[in-house]
Amino acid sequence: MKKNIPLAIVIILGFIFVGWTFIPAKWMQDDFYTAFLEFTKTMSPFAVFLGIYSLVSMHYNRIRRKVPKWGYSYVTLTGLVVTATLGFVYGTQAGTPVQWIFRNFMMPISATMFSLLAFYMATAAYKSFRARSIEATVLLVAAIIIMLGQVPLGMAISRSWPINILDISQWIMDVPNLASKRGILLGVGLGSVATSLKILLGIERTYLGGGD
Amino acid sequence: MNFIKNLQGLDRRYVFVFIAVAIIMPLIFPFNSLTYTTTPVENLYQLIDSYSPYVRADDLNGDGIISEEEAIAFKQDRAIFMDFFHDASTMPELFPMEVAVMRHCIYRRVPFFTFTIMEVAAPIIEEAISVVTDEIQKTGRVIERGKDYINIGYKPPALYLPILLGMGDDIAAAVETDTDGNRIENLPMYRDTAIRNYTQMNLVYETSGSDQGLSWMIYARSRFGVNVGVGLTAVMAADQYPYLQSGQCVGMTAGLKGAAEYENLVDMFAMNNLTFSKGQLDNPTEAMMANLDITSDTVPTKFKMARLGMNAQSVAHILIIVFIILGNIGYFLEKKKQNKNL
Amino acid sequence: MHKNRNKSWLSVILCLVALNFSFSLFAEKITVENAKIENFVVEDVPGDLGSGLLLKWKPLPNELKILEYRIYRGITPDSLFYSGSVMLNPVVGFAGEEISFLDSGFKPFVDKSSPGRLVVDSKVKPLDEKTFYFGTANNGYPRDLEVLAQANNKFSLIAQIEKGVYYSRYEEVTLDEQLFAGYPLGNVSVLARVRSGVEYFYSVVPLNETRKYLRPSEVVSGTPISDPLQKPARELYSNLIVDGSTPISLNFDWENATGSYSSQAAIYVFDDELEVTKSYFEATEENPYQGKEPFILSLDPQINEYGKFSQPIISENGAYFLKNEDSQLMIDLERIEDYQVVIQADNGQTLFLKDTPNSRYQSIQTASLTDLPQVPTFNVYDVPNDKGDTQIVVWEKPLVEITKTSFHEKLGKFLIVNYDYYDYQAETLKSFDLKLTLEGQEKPFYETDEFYLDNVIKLAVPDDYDNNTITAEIIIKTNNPDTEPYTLYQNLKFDKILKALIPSAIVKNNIALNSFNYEVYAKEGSPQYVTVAGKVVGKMNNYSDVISYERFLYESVIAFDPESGKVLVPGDIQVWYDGKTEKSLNLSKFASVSKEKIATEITTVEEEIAQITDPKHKERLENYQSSLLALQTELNNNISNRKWIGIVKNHRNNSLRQKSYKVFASNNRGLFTSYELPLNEDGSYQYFTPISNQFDYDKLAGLLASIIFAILVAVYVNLAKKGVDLYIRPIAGIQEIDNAIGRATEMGRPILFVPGMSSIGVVATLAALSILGKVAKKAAEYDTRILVPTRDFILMPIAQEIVKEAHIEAGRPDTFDKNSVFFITTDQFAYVAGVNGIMIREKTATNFYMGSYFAESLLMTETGNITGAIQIAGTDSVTQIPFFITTCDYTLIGEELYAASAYMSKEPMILGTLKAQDYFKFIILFFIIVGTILSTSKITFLLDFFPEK
Repeated sequence: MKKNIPLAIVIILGFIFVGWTFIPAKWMQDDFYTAFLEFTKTMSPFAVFLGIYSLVSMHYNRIRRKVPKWGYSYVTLTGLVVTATLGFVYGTQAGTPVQWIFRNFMMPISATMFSLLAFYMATAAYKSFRARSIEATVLLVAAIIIMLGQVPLGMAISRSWPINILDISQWIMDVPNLASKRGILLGVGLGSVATSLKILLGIERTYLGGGD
Repeated sequence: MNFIKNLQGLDRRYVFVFIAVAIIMPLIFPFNSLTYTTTPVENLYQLIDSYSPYVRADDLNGDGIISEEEAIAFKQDRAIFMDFFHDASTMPELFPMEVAVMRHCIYRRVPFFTFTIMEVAAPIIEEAISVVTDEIQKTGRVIERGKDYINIGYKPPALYLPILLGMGDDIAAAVETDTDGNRIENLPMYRDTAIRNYTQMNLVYETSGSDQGLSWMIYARSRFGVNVGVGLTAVMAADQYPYLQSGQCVGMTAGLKGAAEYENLVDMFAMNNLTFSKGQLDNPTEAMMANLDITSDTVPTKFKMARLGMNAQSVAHILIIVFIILGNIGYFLEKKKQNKNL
Repeated sequence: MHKNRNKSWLSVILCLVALNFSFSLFAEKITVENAKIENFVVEDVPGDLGSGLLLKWKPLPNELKILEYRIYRGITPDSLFYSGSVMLNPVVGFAGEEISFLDSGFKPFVDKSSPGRLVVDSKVKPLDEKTFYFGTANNGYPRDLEVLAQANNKFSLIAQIEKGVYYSRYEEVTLDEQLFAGYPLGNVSVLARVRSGVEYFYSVVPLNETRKYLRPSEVVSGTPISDPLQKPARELYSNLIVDGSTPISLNFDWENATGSYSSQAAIYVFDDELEVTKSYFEATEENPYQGKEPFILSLDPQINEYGKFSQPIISENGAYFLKNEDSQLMIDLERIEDYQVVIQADNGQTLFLKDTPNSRYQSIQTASLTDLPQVPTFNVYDVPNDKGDTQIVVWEKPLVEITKTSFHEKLGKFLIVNYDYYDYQAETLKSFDLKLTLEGQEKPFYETDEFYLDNVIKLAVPDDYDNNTITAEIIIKTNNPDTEPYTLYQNLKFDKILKALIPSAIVKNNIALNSFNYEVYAKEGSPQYVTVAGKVVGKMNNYSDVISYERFLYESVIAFDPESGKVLVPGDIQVWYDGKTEKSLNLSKFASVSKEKIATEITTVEEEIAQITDPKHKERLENYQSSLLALQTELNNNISNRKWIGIVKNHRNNSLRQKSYKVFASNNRGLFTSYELPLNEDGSYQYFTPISNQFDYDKLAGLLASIIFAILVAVYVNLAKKGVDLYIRPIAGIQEIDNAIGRATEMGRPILFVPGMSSIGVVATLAALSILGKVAKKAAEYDTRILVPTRDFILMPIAQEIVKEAHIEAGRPDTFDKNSVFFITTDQFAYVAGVNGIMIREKTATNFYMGSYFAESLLMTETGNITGAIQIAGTDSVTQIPFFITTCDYTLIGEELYAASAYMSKEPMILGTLKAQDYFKFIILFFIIVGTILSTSKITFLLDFFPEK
């Protein structure tokens, strides 16, 4: 029973989605589906509560148990309380403290995290592009051509060649790259249809919480 | 030998340091690197150039050159329309190209409209306009709002499609007022010219970090035959190639590289009041070359932002390529040694 | 570039600090305390008939970092209500000399988000004690009818009422002995616009970047003026249409001025000098008109809407006349260019043909009948497979247009021709032949049959080609077997500046298509055609008319009535429109009033029937009368208001969504032809209603594929259940999962499982969760800690449940720690920072990354690499796969992610689906190969069967 009712809900709602896909009529698209969608919105507030509860309880435990670097948990909890309080008191419009925090803390910190990508990409490229096998060599050569196509040096080199390096890099992107991408996407599409079908038919039930 | 072998097990922190230096140094110490222009950028530049009164006006005194007076006397019959569809997060890539295109328009006296449906982009438009006009006004030329350009500014997204389609008939009726509340038909750029709709406003240049340019191709291009050019972040550029190929998109500036190329073209031709020519591009004159020197003060810093950034990007790219090659040499040497030992 | 952004942020902070210092050093500068708005004026907007005011003021210095100027408006100078704002970017500031705010058009006035009672905006510090500023951050007027009643008659008000509310929530309210429908204020949104002749008071309050309110401006007043229009029309054209030497008609074509609320009253044709003609309009009793009498054509509202009229020329005894009930004028064809044409508006203003801006058209032009546009097709189609809110008006066959050409000089000289095509669902372009001929030659140098429409044709130009003009001949074949192939022409001429061949306009039947525009008119719910699309360019062959389902209804607000506590709107309602008799039935929202009204309506119709002689018309009216009588019977049954409005709603839904169309093809210079739909057999107009379709046939292929796939699954699941051994290719990544968990156990360190960046609604996340179930079970068996940080708070409890169940199944419920599955944050990079922190602090031995990922994948895996963990990733995000492959030990690519849980469970049901999936791939492969072969040999039925999107 604990599993059957949720399963029934999933299956019924799943078939409604199927109907929504194939039936363009107004009764399905507007009257039924749109009204239905409103319900899903009610789920979020409860989940937010759960999320906050989880965050607080985890960090509270960390502080209580004095696990290594527990001091940072204070930072997290302070951030949560301060931002939320400021938001409730002053609102979230432009010019309020919340926006100030967002612009002066969130944005630079996020940008810093994102800029790490440049460094990681460099090391990743350095480590992995080795001509270990024929496939790896192909990958290596393609990578160098594409990168050369992005910088003036590549253009300078290719001016003296009969074939433009930009054309080659474009060809690599358009033909082999696109072909493999499509192959993967085809598999992904089919896999996701299969997974959806498994859920719709009740074969796959992990999402209901463990067990098979 | 040992050095190369050590490279194999190089600590990643050294790589980090190299990359940091490679990115920071070119920004602090600018240097001249070659910027080759690509066809999509050239196409966009050429099209805007072909709208210039310096190309279209009648040579009244018959001296074979369109003088400034002749260009001013010419009744404008072409304009471009710029749609800003991005927020501050993509500004590093898109802002330099917006500045470059506007600068091109102002040097070549091509009237332009600026427009956005994103509230956050309205200040970006103002900033781009002030960057360009402030610098050019220092040279003594007066640039007037409403005469050299019209800033339509922010319009609500709900009006996007109605405006987009309405401009096929009459821009004054479609947008009604500019950002300052002036009616378009009272502004000199509309009142004293032949610019009415897409027939004259024949290029829409849309800058975005998404595929928003598509809506111009689908609605404005297919119905009214307007040319659509796009300015995109480098990440989005690949998606745009099919449209370049099919001709639905006339030109593109992609990422910092596209912006740098456009800056270069503006410095070579527009700044010297020359018409674009492919031949001259390969054999530039001394005057053209002088403007290209980004280490000198000929061109204000604000107008070479993309090339400065591009230097950093190029050096980092080359450094990575060098690392890959060195890494491979080390790998082969090691393998050779292992084979010998066997 | 992101480094750059960091730098700029740093500089912004530094600048702010520096600014603070500079403020304290030079205190005499303009400060937040003493800043004052100057040059604040309120002006009428000229030429808008009193519907707007323009506010202008000098912006405060940019150093003050102004964020917003809030506008307060009132009908008395002492109480002002918030009514809108101008937002600025405080970092950039404002460059111009003047900031303006246009108060025109309908803007939100009061709705359910408004405060319940009058709120004084306490942050504003008024300049004097008598002035009050009301409102909250986003609203001005409160939902208090006592306060709102002051606005009655001071604004133009419109109520926006949701459909459900509109038909159910009104009550009868009597005001000044009239009956109105009253709606509760909480259920309607009211919009307002300023009215001409009313004095409004304004004040502007600046806010700086910390939302500190600066000193408000003085209160300034302004009154919208209903100013007269300068000209009745913008342009006027007139054309004499002749068939050989016989005149057929005199055409008039004018464009009404924009924003014009006056209408054109009459057109005059004079056979006189311009000066004499002018005196006609200046004539008084003392100073009467001396010239010849003109021909006068009175214009009705319908003709006003079209801006076009064709007056037939009557031939009598070899002379030609313009003739109607009012006047007549003999036409001398020789001197037709000397005739004067004048259009007069109902406010008395005139426009002479001589004053038309375009000098070429300042006299009557003569044109031949053959110059008029000919339209081959005119019909209306419903759009298939839709909700039923669009229909297409079609007036021309599908077209192909060459839009651009470019030369490509590599390994020979090539020309790339780009084309576009315009068709519509009812008749689509099947293929076309393109023939290119050099100027002066007869034989085309290039011919092709373009059957796969990819917008591009690449061809080799002859060796001796030297930028000559090329003629392109395009022969079009459509999917309609009854349509004969037809030909279009375009010239490709070399342009020196663009260095490309520039295509000319499309020529069909010797007429350049761009010389005409189309104007589409439709009527619904009224006998008058109104424009739905003006000036559709010549090459467009159809117009999609969207007839939306009503969501909101709009009614003008009569008054805010504090006594009844309602917003009052008119009690009238249009019940139906009868297209056959062109009659609109207007009754009341109240049954009692409707009863009286319908009785009058029936009497009127009866009288009309008595006078009619045409039997068809009579029959239509009698039908109409019987439906009125039926409605009356229902009303006489003493039905309740609620039941009555239910009946009205049904009638409205059915009859107000039908439309009839008319199209003008026009050069906007006096040459035009109108196209109307043929009448029905009973002589009535044809009306069309879009159909709400029950099945989307575009998705038929998708449905069939799904069914076939489901059958395959059923077959293989059954086979698997019967114990048939199904072979599945081993995948390294999955086989390594066990070892990876074992490694963590050996090292005594925890396992990290990242379930992707997406929410529970994404299939990849679900696949990740099923893998989590398996991994957690193994981990529980080995007694190894598993950490699951989530980015989605809905996902968290589900993941918790899964891990808990896994522990129970493994027989180790005691080892389950609820805090091992936790929520970090929804922010992308903050989440990455959190996960990276866990890797470094906890020194996780094995990291799993399953699900969908965006730009952050490398940031996590590279950190995992640094900490030396074994990493197994699985994702369907194609762009992130390279990053995972380079940094992880094993990667499940695309569908392997979905297959992983099947591998690990070895359960027949799931193995069956996997096998079915493999066989389905064969089917896809088959179609790809067959499709390629068929399409290459120009057989496209298979291609057409599959939808494009």
